[in-house]
Amino acid sequence: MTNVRIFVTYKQSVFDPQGDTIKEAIHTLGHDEVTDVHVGKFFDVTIKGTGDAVDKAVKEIADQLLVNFNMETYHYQVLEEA
Amino acid sequence: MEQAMTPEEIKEKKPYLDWSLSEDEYNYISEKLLGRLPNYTETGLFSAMWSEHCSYKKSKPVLRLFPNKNNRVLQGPGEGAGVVDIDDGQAVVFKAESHNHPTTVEPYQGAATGVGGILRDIFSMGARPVASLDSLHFGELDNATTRMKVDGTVRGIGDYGNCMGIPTIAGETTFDPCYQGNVLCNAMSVGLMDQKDIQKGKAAGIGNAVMYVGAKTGRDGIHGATFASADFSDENATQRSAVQVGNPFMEKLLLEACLELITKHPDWLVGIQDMGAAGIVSSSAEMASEGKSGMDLDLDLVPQRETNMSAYEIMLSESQERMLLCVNKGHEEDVKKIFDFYDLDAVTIGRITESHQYVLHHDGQVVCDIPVSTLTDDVLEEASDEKKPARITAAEQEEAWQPEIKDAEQTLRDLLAQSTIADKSSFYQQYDSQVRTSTVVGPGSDAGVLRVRGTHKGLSMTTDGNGRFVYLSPEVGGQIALTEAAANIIASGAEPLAITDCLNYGDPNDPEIFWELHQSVKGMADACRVFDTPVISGNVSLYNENNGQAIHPTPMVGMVGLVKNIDRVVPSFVQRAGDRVYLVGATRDDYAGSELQKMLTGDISGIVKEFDLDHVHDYMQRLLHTMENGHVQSAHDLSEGGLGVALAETLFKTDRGLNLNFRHLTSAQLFSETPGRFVVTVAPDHVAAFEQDLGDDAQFVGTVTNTHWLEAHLADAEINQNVTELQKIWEEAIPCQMKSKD
Amino acid sequence: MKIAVIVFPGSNCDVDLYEALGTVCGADVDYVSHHESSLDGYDAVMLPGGFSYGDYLRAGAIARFTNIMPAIIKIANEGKPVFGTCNGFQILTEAGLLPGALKRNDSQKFVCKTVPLEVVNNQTLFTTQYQEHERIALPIAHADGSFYADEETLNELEANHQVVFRYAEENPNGSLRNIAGITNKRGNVLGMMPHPERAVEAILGNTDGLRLFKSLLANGRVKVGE
Repeated sequence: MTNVRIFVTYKQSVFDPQGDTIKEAIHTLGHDEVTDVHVGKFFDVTIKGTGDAVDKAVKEIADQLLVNFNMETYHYQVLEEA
Repeated sequence: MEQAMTPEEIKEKKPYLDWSLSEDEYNYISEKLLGRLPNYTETGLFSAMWSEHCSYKKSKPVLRLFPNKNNRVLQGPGEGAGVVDIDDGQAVVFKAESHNHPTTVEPYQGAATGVGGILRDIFSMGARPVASLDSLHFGELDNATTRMKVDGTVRGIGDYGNCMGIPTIAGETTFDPCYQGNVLCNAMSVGLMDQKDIQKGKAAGIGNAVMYVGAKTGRDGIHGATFASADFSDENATQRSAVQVGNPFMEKLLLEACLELITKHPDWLVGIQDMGAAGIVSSSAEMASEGKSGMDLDLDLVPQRETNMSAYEIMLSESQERMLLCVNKGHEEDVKKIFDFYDLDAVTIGRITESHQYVLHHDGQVVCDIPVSTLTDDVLEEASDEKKPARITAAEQEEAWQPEIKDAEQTLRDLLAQSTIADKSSFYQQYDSQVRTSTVVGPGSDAGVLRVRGTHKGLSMTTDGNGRFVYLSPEVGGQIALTEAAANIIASGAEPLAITDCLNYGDPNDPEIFWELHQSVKGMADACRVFDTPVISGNVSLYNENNGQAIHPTPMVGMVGLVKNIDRVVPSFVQRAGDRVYLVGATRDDYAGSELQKMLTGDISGIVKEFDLDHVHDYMQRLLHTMENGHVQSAHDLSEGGLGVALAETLFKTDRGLNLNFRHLTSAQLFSETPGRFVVTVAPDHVAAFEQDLGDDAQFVGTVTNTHWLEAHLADAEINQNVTELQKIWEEAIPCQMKSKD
Repeated sequence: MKIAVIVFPGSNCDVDLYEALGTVCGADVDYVSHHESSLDGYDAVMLPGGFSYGDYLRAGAIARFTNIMPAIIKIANEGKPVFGTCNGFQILTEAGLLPGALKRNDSQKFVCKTVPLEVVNNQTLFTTQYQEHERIALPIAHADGSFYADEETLNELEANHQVVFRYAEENPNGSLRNIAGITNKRGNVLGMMPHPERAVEAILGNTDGLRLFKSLLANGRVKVGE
């Protein structure tokens, strides 16, 4: 079993109005040192198997379902292998 | 979750006191009803079912004042929602429900699940929901907390209703400091159905199946019913766990599956009920009680989202998007197939039994075995002490407040920027108001109007509640709430049919608050009789307090009217230049509780004057009659801000103006809030017919112009205002306040 | 001309499309469930607005895995008319039948109102009864309607006259180049955020959407199979 966390975000070039709004809110809290906020989402996925098989599964799941490559991109972390 | 104490430990440690069951009630249950000590699960069930939220034990004596029958009412209070005959074998189904406590602690989910709950009440009757309305009351917008609550509440209502595909077509949003710590969120839903499809929440027929359909059960909202029956304080932050999370997508599937079952396979179904407050226990016990049946449920069969749930948790969970069905023996698989198509669970969790016992099995043990009636019918009604508040007695001795208007034009501009009066489109544009393509009049008018497809009929609907009048003079305030709703319905060209209500009050154990409840309900009930609009459904929300400070008593009236000819729906804004303008109803010096008083003095005071309900009803009927005969071009009822604000509103979003002569009125009276008045425009060739119908109750005051200026000559002032500028003030007030960073 | 209105789990403007085509325009129209796998016998397909699969993950993202999707793609590849409004547009982009994507509105809020539009291309199957550059007004009702595509795709859309409707006066959602509706290169698949099916009857106050359906009904039979 492997626990994987897949992060999906807008591509760098895509305007992220939610991130912008949150940045504004942070500034009203007085944290002017915050220069950029980007919002994304993550998926915690538990997969039977380890190693290459997991990488292959994650790639397919992300490519086919979790990510819209017209505007989004992704990366992932292996949280735990057992 | 603390696990099963023994019955003896319960008697000794009295955990039920935390669940809002009193010691007297506990003793009555043990000694008189059961003849033994209730176990842990049973005690939990009693505390939920005997809460005010489920049993109305405190408010019942007052609720009996309401009329709830006339020749159109097919189903009054007691079922999921009330049903009214609209001819041609069709019926309109409606109900309103409060979700004040959940919305106060978690505005987005509280409001969303409020909408979800009321929609289930409608489709459990066999009706398709066709419109939603709301009545929202917040603190002033001058603080970030309120702005956050407003934003969350509006998003919650929008996201749930939009996803369901039910248009939100009318409502009201008001602001007053009394709601700062306790928001009011009342949601109303209106459904349409063929009378042959009317369902009941009934379980009967020995051996028939009790089926659970919809979402799985988790630990959400346990004791939500008792939570709603206790007041807030800052120390009670842990109550936050009681908020449920909504899933409108699942509810949409549940709606389609239930309506398919009800309309296509009536012979499979005995009864159906929403699992609302107090979840499985209230729906199943009420259904068994209605069918005079016994019921035997196996809780291990209940679809569960979480593990190791106790019987108590399963029974009291308020997970959303669930329904309970009673299905004729032998059709369980047929029903399951329908729900399978929509990817929904449908599981037989028990059977109807010959006894009158309510029996629950869990983990191989019988965890509850009590007579059904002890949960539903044997609840002890509570007599309440009443006392007229000293503030009212004192106000009766004082001279009425009389405003001094130095600059009538500036006063009008200032009133248009008051958040209760200002344009609410920045809120209602977040609601889909057009889906189902039947919305003839959407939000922002006196009442929303839907056409009934395939007929010439229409349905008009509105929500109205003004806590300020009720706070100052509960009985007259109750009458005004009804009159205002009826005026909105009639202004659209519809005949008032019936009402639903949400009675929002503070802690009823306070004799002054109970007196307010009693008096205002009396006022509403009297007006219901005059307008022949019985109360067909509704709910009571008590304990609306924060740190001991009660809200203004705020009964919300949700009224539905019938438009006989949809082509004769009358708009609220003026039409053609040259049309004659009339003021219907007399104007008095009514400033107690008005927006003007609030704006100029910062508070409200005084006594709201009585008015002649019968007379108002009489000319409103004649106004409707002349509207139905096509003699009226536009009609707008006068409410907050009085005549001055209403005149401006009839011009907004048009390119017209008004030239009016009010030599008999002072500039103060321009903002008086005497109930039961309208601004009406009439085409020149209909003037004779109109004047004949209205007689002295309509006063000719001027004409519609092409100038886009509001010109009015008063006894003591002149009004000469560019409408574009007035509209800008009115439109920008709320967006500007919502953006504030203070 | 036989038309299918597809019903996905969570579709809620299916009734509106059905009534606009069937009751108002008198067309031969059926509801077809997402469970079906064939659209044989249908000459055109309509993807309604709503919240298929609750808009969970991304609006339209899950609907493209339903049983009916290969049949919709087949119809599109045959050159038959395929129309998607609102959620239908989102599904068409997610399924790759139209370029680009629909992002959350810049305001971050759902918006329901009537907005002015310019008919940019009146030479499509769906727009011949409008004038070129005609100003019309149609209702919008969405939270995820901000059209996005990269520069190259946008330039290509313009060069191929695939932009059919543009927001005029105000841009209600942040769509790039004010794009409100586009076709595929071949011109037989139209996706748009505004709701023409909500503007087909005088009693509801707007009939600007009617000519879209009339264009389709007039052209559908002629162009199909050309």
